Amino acid sequence: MAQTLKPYLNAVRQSLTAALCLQNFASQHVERHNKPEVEARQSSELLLNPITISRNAKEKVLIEGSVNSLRISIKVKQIDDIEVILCKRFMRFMSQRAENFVILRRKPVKDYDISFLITNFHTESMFKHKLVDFIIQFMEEVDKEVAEIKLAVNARARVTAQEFLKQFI
Amino acid sequence: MSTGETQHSAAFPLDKAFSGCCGARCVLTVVTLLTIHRVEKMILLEYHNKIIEDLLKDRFKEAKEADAKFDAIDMTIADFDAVVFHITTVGETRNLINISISIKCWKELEAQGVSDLLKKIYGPLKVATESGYNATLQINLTAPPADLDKVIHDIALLKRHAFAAPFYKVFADVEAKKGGGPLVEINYRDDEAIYIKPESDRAIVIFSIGFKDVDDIIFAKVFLQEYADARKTMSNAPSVTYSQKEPPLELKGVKNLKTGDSQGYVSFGELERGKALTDAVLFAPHVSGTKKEKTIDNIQTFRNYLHYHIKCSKAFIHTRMRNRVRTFLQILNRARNEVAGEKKTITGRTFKRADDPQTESMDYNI
Amino acid sequence: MSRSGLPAVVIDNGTGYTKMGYAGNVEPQYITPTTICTQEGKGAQKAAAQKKGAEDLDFYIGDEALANSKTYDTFYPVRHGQVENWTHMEYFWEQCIFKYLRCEPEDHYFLLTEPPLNAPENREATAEIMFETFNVPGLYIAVQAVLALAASWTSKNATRTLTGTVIDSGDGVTHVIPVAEGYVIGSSIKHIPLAGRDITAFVQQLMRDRNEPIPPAESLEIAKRVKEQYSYVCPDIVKEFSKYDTEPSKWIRQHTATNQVTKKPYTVDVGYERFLGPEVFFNPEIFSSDFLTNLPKVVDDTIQSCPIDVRRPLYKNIVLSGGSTMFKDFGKRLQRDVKRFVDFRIKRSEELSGGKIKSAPLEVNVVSHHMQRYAVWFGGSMLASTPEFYPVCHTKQQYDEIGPSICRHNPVFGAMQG
Repeated sequence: MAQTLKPYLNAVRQSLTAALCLQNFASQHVERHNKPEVEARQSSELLLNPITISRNAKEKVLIEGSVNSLRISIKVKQIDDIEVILCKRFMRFMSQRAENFVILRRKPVKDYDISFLITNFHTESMFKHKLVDFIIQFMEEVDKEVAEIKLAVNARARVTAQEFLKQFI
Repeated sequence: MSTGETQHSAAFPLDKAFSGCCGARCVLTVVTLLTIHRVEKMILLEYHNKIIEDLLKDRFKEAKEADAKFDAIDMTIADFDAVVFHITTVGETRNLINISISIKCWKELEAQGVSDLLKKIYGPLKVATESGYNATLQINLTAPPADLDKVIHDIALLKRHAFAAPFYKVFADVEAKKGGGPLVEINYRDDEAIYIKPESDRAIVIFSIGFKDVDDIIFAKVFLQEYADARKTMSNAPSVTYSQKEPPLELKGVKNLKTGDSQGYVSFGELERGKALTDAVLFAPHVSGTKKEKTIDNIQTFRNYLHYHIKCSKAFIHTRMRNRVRTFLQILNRARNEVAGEKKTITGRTFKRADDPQTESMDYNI
Repeated sequence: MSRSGLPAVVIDNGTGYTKMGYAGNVEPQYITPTTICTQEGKGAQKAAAQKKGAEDLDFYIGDEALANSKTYDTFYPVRHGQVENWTHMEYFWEQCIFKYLRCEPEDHYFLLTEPPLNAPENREATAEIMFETFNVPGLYIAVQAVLALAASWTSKNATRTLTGTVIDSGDGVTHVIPVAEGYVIGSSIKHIPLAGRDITAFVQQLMRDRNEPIPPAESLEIAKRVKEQYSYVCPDIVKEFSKYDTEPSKWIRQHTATNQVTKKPYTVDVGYERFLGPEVFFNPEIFSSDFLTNLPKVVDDTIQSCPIDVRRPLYKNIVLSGGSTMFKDFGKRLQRDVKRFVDFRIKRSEELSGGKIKSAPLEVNVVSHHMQRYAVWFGGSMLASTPEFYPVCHTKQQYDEIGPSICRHNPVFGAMQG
């Protein structure tokens, strides 16, 4: 499993770096407006073909590019029920604090767990390679965190069950 | 019935009239009762009501002062399992305090002889029941008993003692090797119940536990699996099994036999919507002798203990997520390329740090 | 009563003390410092994998936290009325509910309090904890000042209104908060950096200056005792001094205490500090050199800075809350002094108009009542025991459907209609 992780993340990194080629682009429909085209979807000529990079059936990334914005949606590995709810809670917890994460979208794209929206204004005020670093690091650590929490919950369950049953002895 | 009666009195530590032969055993139990409330690190829940204990302790302390005036009390408090206490002072002098308890499933407990049991435990403290409640105790501030702390602690254990009635009865049957008695059903909460069944060498306690939140069912599964596994490493522990959809066999047979109406099936229907049934099989050593008190103490708290730890886990998950989100924010903030502005000291001078940690130290209260 | 027939839980987390209990009671069941002590700093941060399980449950709150402060790290999760550390707060609530109140949070509605001008994000964070961790069926977050107003309805001469000026004086700071129809007029709130702690310090200083035979270690405790047992507010400070000088035996009291070390009793005289302590509010210059505006003036300024159409009802209903407003005749003196300012202003405007404009008489009314000490908690307990409480609560169903944002707004309720 671990062997496939590196190429997977590498592929995401390369695609993302390439896709993060954004420029300021005024809306063609509303004067003096500037909309993230990947969200507005009003002119098909401004949209790039979306790409999906998947590691397996359960883990994949969707990168949708456009002239002035990019949307990356991540589906996090969830093996069992407990990982599903942990992941759900974690992503909801993050989305709740989206204003701190300037690039986080409050709602994930359908079928994905979390989405980020990066516009040209973000790439202008932030280092592009570090933004990519953030996404990659996020993907790495989310998996780790969910797995760790799951272990910790199991450990807790064991400790409490033993403590309780100890009382009977 | 009469044999059951003597079983109660012999096993109960507070009864003044127990026979000599089990005296030593009873003294032992008293000791455990008194040390129980020192719960380490809040892993276990306490068995007594802290509010009642603290209130009575305070009042008796005040009463000791020379010119003590008794303030009126009229307090309604809740406890686990939908229990409500009502604490009032009586009359003009206010030196008598009434503690009344209301329990949802009193009728079922009554059938198990709870009134007699409470009379035996509390003796003269138990007075005529206040209307709207199920049992009332009374204590006199001006005449504190000799072993005040113990009496107060016992009063705070009122709920525990009331719920103990069916356990005593069933455990007594087991001790007398009388299996096959009827299944005792205690519907102590809305759509949640405890079933206790005596067998010849063990007692089976079945909890039907409801979950209001769908996520909790999954957490509960993790926890209950650990209960079931724990027996592998602890040989003397009671065995625990759980089932999420199918009610255990003991229950099914008896339920159908006993009621035979749709009531049973309705509750089975509910089982499928977020319910878990747990049964703990308590073996003879758990239900007799000195272990008995401790077992009853503990088994009563099971449902709340499980829920409590599910909630603690969620609090723990929140903590982890807060920390993780904080580190994610730090990583993201490293991407900002804004030039750190010059900072001013309080005297108005400016300075520049060699290594500006501004972006790193951005603190969010999350 | 809720569907389950069980009383709601009311928790008022103040900066200093947390008041918690079941709705419908006149007093909180527990009053305990808002303190938590944990092991997180000690023993260093272990890697998650090495942890055995429930280490994070090794903590104490309230008085027990202070008792264990030697072996644990102590934290104060609430600062200036606002929650600073949500993790600590979550654990604090956990123990409030399961250890002290002993209730299944899924069965009880909850009423929590917040300071005026609290950020809506804080309400969301509270909702997140309450609904996700504790699965509470319903939650209402009330503004402390509004609850203090509601508490004053128990007073004989009070009306059931949610318009009034709340003077909330606890241990650390005194606030003057104008409330119009259940909503705080945020821009007009004023703070006074004088409160219970300062009065105690002043009393302590007075007794020390007089060389009362108090062991130094106990001087703060004695000052607190003297403040709570003997203090009152006098109508006129000069007259009061002469009263004491002509008839000392009638006015000076003796306080007896036991030396903690030698166990010998000793007696101290309680003199001028009986009325000088609370006088700090009315003549701050006797104690403080940086804050010189007296309380009646601050109250008057606060109301004058409010929209003109609410000023009359604000003068009419000045409500006291918190332990440092409990001094005898505090309300009377405040009412008289505020009235003086108002009367002077009316007289002046009549003079300036040359007698052409006559103002309708303006009523100044300070409401004292016996629930003052825990007014906020009591107001919450009262409101949460009414049937109107349940419909205004945010429910778990709403939370699951919409999210924490539902708790941004908590509708006002309970006041007389019209």
